[in-house]
Formats: sequence, C-alpha cells, structure tokens
Amino acid sequence: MAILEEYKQRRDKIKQMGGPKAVDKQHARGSMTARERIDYFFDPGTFTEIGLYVKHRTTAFGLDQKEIPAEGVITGFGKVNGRQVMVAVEDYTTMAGTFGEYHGKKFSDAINMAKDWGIPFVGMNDSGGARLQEGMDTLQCYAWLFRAQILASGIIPQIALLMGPCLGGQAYHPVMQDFVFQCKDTGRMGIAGPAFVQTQTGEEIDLDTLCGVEAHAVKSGETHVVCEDDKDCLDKAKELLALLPDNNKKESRKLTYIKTKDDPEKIIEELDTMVPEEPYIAYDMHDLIIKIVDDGYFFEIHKDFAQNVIVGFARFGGRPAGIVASQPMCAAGAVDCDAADKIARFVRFCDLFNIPLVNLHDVPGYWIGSVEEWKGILRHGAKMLYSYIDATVPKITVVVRKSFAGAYTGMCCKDTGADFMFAWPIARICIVGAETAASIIFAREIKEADDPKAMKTQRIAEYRELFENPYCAAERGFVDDVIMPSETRKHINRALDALENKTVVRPWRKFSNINL
Amino acid sequence: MATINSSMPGKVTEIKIKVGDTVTKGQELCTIEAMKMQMPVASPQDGTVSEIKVAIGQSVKKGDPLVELN
Repeated sequence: MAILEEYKQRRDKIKQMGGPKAVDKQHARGSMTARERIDYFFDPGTFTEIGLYVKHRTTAFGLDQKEIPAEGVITGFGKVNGRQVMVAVEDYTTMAGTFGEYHGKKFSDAINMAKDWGIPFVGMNDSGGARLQEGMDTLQCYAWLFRAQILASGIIPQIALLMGPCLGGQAYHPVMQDFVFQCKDTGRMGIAGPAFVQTQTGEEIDLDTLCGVEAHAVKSGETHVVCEDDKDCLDKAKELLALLPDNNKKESRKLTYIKTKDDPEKIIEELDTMVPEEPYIAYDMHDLIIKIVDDGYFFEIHKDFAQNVIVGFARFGGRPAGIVASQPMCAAGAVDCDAADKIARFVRFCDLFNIPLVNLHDVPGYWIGSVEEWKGILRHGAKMLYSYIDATVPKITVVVRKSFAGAYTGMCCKDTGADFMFAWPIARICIVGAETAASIIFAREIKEADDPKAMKTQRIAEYRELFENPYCAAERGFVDDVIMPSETRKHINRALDALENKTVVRPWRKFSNINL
Repeated sequence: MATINSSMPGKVTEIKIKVGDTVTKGQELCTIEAMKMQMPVASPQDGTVSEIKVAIGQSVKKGDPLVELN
C-alpha cells in the first residue's frame, strides 16, 4: 500500500504545478494555468500526459535543491473535435516556465512525435525565457526545438498560442509555426524585451507597445489571430483545427469534410446587384465572401494586417478551402509588399496541406510609387507568383470587378495556375486601365489635338469599350466563362467537385528559388 | 482632439466639410483617389472640424494628416 501511496503523492505533487501561491498569481493575471488550459482544450477525459516525471539535472546556483514540476512544460496528446492533437503547454507557475535543457527536450520531443504520428501540434507559450542557470545546455535546446519544428513544417499543421510572454530567441518558435494566436492582454512576443532594448540601443519603449497585439497583428504581421483571453484563444484554435487536416497526406483532408446546411448550387440573387459597377466605388469584400461560402462561415487569418487583401478559411459543399480576396475598401485593394507576403504564406500553407484555393479578384494592380518600390514590391510580389505557380492544389479564380496588370497574373490567372477562371459581366480584365493605356498610345495625338481634353476622353472611351470587359479574355480562353454573380457559388462548387482528385506530376527539383 | 490621417497615398479629390462643421462618427469627410479607386475618408468619431489640412488636387502620402477634429 505504501508503494501506491507514494505513487499518488508523487503525481499529485507534480500536478500542483508551482503551488497555490503561484497559481493564484496566474489567475490574478487573468490567465488559466497550464493544466486548466489542457482541460479546456481537449475533449473531456481524452488527454494523456507524456514525461510527467522528467527532471532537470542542473546543480549550479542551488538548482539541485529546486523542484520544477514537469520541468515547466506539460506535454501530451488527446482529442480535439474528436481528432488527435499533440500539445506542449508551458507552465508559468513553475519557475516562470523557464526554458531549460529538459523543458526544451520535452517540447521538441512532442513535436517530433507529432510529426512521426502525423497529428497537428499546438504549442502554448507562457514562459519567462531561457533558464540562464543552465548555461549552454539551454541554448542547445533551442536548436533542438527549431530543428524539430522546421523538419515537421509541411508535414503536420503547427499552431502557436501566445498566452503569456515569449521573448528573446525563444520567440522564433511561435513565429516559425504555421499560425500564431495572440492573447490581447497577456501574449507578448519579441526578439528582446524593453530592458534589453534600452541598454543596447537607448530606445525607451514599454512591453505592450513593443511586443503586444498592435505590434504583431497590425504592424509586423507575425500574429495571425488576436484573442480576447485564454478561453477565446483555445476556442479559436479548436475552430481552426477543425478546418485543417491532420497531416500532409491527401487522404487526411477528408477528415475535415463536414455536412453543411447551404445547397452547393444555391443561386444568390442579391449578388447580381451587390457590387457597384463603377470600378472606383469601394465596398467591403467580406459581404461577398460570407454570401458565397457555406452557412456564411469564414475564419479570417491576418484580419488586422495588410487589410487590402483578405485571406482565410471557409467551406464549399462542406469541404474546407482557402480564400484569397482583394479588399477594395482598403488601399484600393491594390497589392503592396505586406499584402503579397500575406497571400504568399497563406497559399503555400494551403498547398502543403491539400486545401483548395478560391481567389476573388477586384484588384487594380500592385501598389506603385517610391515607398513600395524601395520596399521591394517586385521581390515581394514575386512571392505570390511563386506560391501560386508552385501550388498543385485545385485553384479557382473569380474576377468580380477588375483584374489589371501584374496583379492579374500575381493573384492567380489561368496561366499562373488557375484550373478554372470565371469573370462576372461587370469585370474589367486588361493589361492596364483605359486612362493609362490611352494616354500612352495616343500621347502625341492628344497633345496635338485642337481640344486635347476632348480627344483624351474620346480615346479613353474607345479603349475602354474595346478592352475593359471580361469578353476579350474569354475569347482567348483566359477566362473559362463569364458567369452571373448569382451563380458564383454554384460554379465554385462544381469546379471543386471536378478537381477533387486533381493530380500534378512535375520533374524533380529540390525546391523553387522563391524570392525570400 | 483627433487627427485623421490618410490611409493610403493619393490625391484629394473632394472635401465634404468646412471648418466649424459638426460631424458624426462614420460621416464622410473627404475623398482620396489612387489606383483607380475613390476612397471615402470617414470620421472615426463625433466632433467639430477645427482644421482642414489639405486642398482639392493635393497629393498626400500614407499617414499625412487630412483633418483635425475637436
């Protein structure tokens, strides 16, 4: 009996984490503890812990006398939405969740297991940083962690939940996962905190401004989803996991198909008059997206970053798809460097995990001018071209109202990879807009005319009449069909059905040399 | 006090308010045109127009101040 008693005591002690005081502090911060997060995240009773007893072996600075329950990170697996998921959950109550040798080993082992088992990995970050008492052993563990996650990238989906601090080199971990969720009041991520920044550079800045949600969800684009609190964060992670397959094997995506309410062939009358015919009037593309997808459900990624384009997941006929759309309401829907980066990373994720892509164009082109030119719009825009042409998943493009110039090719036209290309009757598909074209072609004629203004107007009208429509492209087969807006959902669903078993075989190469 | 800045580079094509006007949240203040699009600039809050910093035809950069509200 004594043996069983010892067994129970040992386990209970570790499961108390950093003890009642530290737990109270965690709650006072508005956060759940690591074990509460696990309870809330997994389907009830399905979690199995791995490495509960793992212990550090450091003797320096009195650490040999220090108990660090579960090494400050709880790892294990269980079911989420009925499907297996692996987690590593940092426990801030236990020596501030500091990252030491065995903490790092547990963390990277969890990723390696998830990769070998073909199940998604979710990391919950809440750590005071490197455990400096362990010296070089700690640094080496970061290498294990980065190697594990990068070698798992593209094999299993990886999601980072920033629920507490994650500062220093450790912050490369969340940022190199597929999606970063950040809790508004507690999630903080950065290469260095304010104190280090101050001593090294003299810059005075507070932690929230430097590393909070405004910094990463809006400015740097490193955060994909902003969350109100721990519960919201875990709910949203579960929501995203439901849309993602377990791994990169084609058959895995069937696990994500569900029964939805909307008829796949539903005719949506209001679309016929929803988008203003005049190309210069802005509107919110979200209104269109939620009309054509199943049950009006859209899970947006990067909602607050590069808002001139929209990316996210939705379902068509119950099957998840990635949506990439222009947003005319923001910066004319033109593609700048950030928008190109946003699209390229999203397209590559979808391609890695066999998720088809639906592209909605209302794009005047790439952003031009010195600001974007010097930031490297050619280099960034190239990422989009590479990602679409490299992608072998089904790709469907709908030109809603306009698709001009480089952005026509960059956002996936027929010959940059679209399996189907549709256009609405109001669509204008052209190399450039009529104003630009006419003022170049007829520059001399306009200049020498008795009434240059009238001549310019006339020539613009002629060019517009001739080329600014969907039919020129359709006559060459660049557009498969000009469709009624109300039939958009029907056509997308039929195309996705037809492309269900699409296979692409290409000659071997190590990878394409995408402009990074 | 609030400054409304341009969300994109472009040209001011329309100014729909004058100094002293009372405006409400969401009301259109002016229009910036760029990349074939006329972008209405809406007021982020209720207030009174204390200064108009641009004129019709003027070019603005992203972040340039357009209107000051009290």
